[in-house]
Amino acid sequence: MTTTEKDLTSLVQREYKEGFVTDIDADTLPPGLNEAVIRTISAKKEEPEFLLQWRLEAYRRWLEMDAPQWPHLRYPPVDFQNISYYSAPKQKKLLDSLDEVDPKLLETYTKLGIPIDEQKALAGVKVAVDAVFDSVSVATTFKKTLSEAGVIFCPLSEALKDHPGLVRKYLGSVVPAGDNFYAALNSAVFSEGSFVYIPPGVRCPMELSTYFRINAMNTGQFERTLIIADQDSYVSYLEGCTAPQRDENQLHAAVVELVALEGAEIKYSTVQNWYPGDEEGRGGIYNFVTKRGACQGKGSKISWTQVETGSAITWKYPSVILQGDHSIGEFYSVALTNNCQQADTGTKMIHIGQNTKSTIISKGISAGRGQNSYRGLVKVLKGAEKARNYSQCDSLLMGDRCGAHTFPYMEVKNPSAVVEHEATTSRIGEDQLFYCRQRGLSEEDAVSMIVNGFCKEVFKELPMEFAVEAQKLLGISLEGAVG
Amino acid sequence: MQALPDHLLAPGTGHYIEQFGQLNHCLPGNRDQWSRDQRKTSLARFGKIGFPTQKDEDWRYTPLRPITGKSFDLVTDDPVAADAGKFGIPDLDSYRVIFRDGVLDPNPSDLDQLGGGHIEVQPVSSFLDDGPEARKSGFGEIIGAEEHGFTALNSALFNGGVVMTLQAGAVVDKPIELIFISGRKLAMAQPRNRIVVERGSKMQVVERYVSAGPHPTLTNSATEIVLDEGAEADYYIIQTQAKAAYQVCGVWVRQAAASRFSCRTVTLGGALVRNNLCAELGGADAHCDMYGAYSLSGRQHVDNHTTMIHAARNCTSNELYKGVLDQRSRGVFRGRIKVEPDAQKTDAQQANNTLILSRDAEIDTKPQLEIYADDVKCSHGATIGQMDGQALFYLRSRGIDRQEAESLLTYAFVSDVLGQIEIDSLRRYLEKVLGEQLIHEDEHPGRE
Repeated sequence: MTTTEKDLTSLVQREYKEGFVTDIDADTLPPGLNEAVIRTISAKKEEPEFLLQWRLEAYRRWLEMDAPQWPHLRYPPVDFQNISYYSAPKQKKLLDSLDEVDPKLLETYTKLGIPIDEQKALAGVKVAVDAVFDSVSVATTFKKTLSEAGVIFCPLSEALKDHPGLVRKYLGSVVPAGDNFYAALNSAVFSEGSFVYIPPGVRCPMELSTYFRINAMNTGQFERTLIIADQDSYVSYLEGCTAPQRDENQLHAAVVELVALEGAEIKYSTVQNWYPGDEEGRGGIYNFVTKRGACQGKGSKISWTQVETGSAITWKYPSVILQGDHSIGEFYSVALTNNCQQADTGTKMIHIGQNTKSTIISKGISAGRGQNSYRGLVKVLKGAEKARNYSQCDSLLMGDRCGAHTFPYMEVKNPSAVVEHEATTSRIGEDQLFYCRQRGLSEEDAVSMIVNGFCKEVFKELPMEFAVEAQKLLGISLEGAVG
Repeated sequence: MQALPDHLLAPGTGHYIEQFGQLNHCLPGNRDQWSRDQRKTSLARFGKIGFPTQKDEDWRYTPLRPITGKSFDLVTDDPVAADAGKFGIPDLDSYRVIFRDGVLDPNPSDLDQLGGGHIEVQPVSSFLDDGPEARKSGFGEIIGAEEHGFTALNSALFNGGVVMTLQAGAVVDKPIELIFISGRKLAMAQPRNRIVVERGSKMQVVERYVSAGPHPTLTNSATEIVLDEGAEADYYIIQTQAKAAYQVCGVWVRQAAASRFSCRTVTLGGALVRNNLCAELGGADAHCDMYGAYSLSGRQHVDNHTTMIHAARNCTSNELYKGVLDQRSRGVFRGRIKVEPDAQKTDAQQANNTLILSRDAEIDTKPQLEIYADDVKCSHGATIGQMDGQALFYLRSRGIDRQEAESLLTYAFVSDVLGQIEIDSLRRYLEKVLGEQLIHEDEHPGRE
């Protein structure tokens, strides 16, 4: 152990690689939230009247709500009047190619290691990146290939102009404006997001991906993503996040809505690596996200996969409403908390239709002083004949000051349902470690190997290029946590 | 307390606060200043927090309207007169302590020869009024009075109970049976017991809840059990009261090093039963078992709420709850395991299995692990399902009719909890009651 201690210390104390601020002149509203701010956001984005009314309604609902107190999280109350609710890079014209993008932005992405300017050259792997820099999308690629397939993949603001009918029909249909405190806040002030529509029978020709990145000082980011998979279509969507280093906590309250119609399948993968704060827990992102999918049609399927390694606080429960008969919901998650990070994450599976199935695989890793909670609900309604659920939540503990918690809820109202839940908590087996060491592996490598094995069930659900990134992230976040 | 203006009182508490005003002069401990102060503090607390509601996370699946919507009357005199003999369990040789509507009845009880002379036993009233001052302060020390309105209500208005201390190194030769008979219409029984098991001693206690009549009654009990080093206690909570009876049952256990506690809860009766069972493993190498079985029909509602706190090293715990839900019954299980930072080498296991037999039955289960130490092995599992079709087919192919096959399988399902009952006569009795109940239920229409 002592031989590697030095390396470990240097790794642990390694500064957050992604922490830097890009100096771009942003058009930022002064901090504070009131109806005027919402009207300004709406006006700046030239939105239709119905959306303004919807935002205002959400705002009024939000005013009557209190921030949730039930999560197993500790943090000072957020001052919502001290946040700026709109920030957009000033340059606004649409670009056709990456060459026209502000080189500073490209530089940012290069530092992050996102191969945005190499993607076209990447053989075999086609990834369209609708890069969201703060609140306004500035680069959209591969539009052509997608439009040939009939797929709509664009910023939400653009969809509002080009496909107002679709947006109006589905926006808020899965996560209503007043759903919860943070969803209501998002509905009132959301600035940008992605919109995806896959027409009937179409298998989206490439993995869709968006990189979110929080930038300007003190700017909460309120993304809103809406994905609609029409009958018998398929789409795989990738979301990856990094953010620059800050001293003050930043709030992120995003909403993601998925709609799967008959026979459609949506696969939504996330790798989240926002700034987690320093070793003492200073700074870091507050990640309060509402993600929900509705399997509306018969035989539809929604699958959530997430790897959560960043953020000071994670509050996130990607859920599936299994309305259609024979629909399937899946949730695969790896959540890691190190230093002072806290995570309260899990899922909800609501079985409404007959023969609906859901699978929950959650792997929590706690190290340092991290607190990691799984919170999940499996609800089988009366009409959900032969509903089936299998849940497994495993926690791995590293260090004697961390915590791992499980709060599963099961509510079953149908006698033909079969619901199973298993949870285990343990630390890395000394016998496993000994075995690896005895075979000549360093302690670091052994731990990394055991942890990767622990998470394998989740990683294998990730698209290939994400799986590699996720393993790397996990390695970096954990190295030095053993001692 | 009565001075507290009405608008500041939590809803539903007024009736009980009034009762306190009328009855406090004849409650156990009324001659003792310390006890009177304790009761007043608790009453103020009750007036402030009131009864729990479904907005409280710990009570979200248990609507208390059937209890809070009625005004139960605390019994201090003229409790139900029923022949205690008829509640005996065949072949069960035990020391008996009889309570009628919560009030200790010394006459048919075996107080004098309880525990063959190894146990110091006193009714709560004489313990508080005349007992040694020094020991009094321990009374109620581990009952979570702050937890919810029912414990506060019991602390303010307990109307009976016993205080037992088993001497160090003693082994009690036969079980001690505490029989709580409720009967008067809308009677409220609030027994409060304290059991101290001194170093290295061993005892078996059976708490039984029965009804003398079909009337709605409320039993709100609170029992604390303190186990010294190396002490051992087997505890049974057997609930076979009338289908109109309500009960909130609280048991708090504190275990010192190398002590061993096991609790088996069997619930077959009651309209609404809530069991709060909380054990704190406060000394190294202690062990705790919690087993529970319930079989419900009609509109019965049973909520088992367990808390296992591992506060010391090297402790082990094991928990298994099994339930069968028929007709419109509803089962709730919440099992919390908390492992505190210093409780390294903890091994805590928990399982909850439920069988749903009817379209209208419902189960809400919530296992919960909170772990703050790293060198632990903890797991919990929960399953919810119906009868195994293959097993049913097998039995039917052997010429057993459907109803019998179903009751056979249901019986088998809970039998591994009943099998944990070490008192043979008690186990045989419960197996018989359960068997009869299962056959009886089959006669009801409405089953799938």
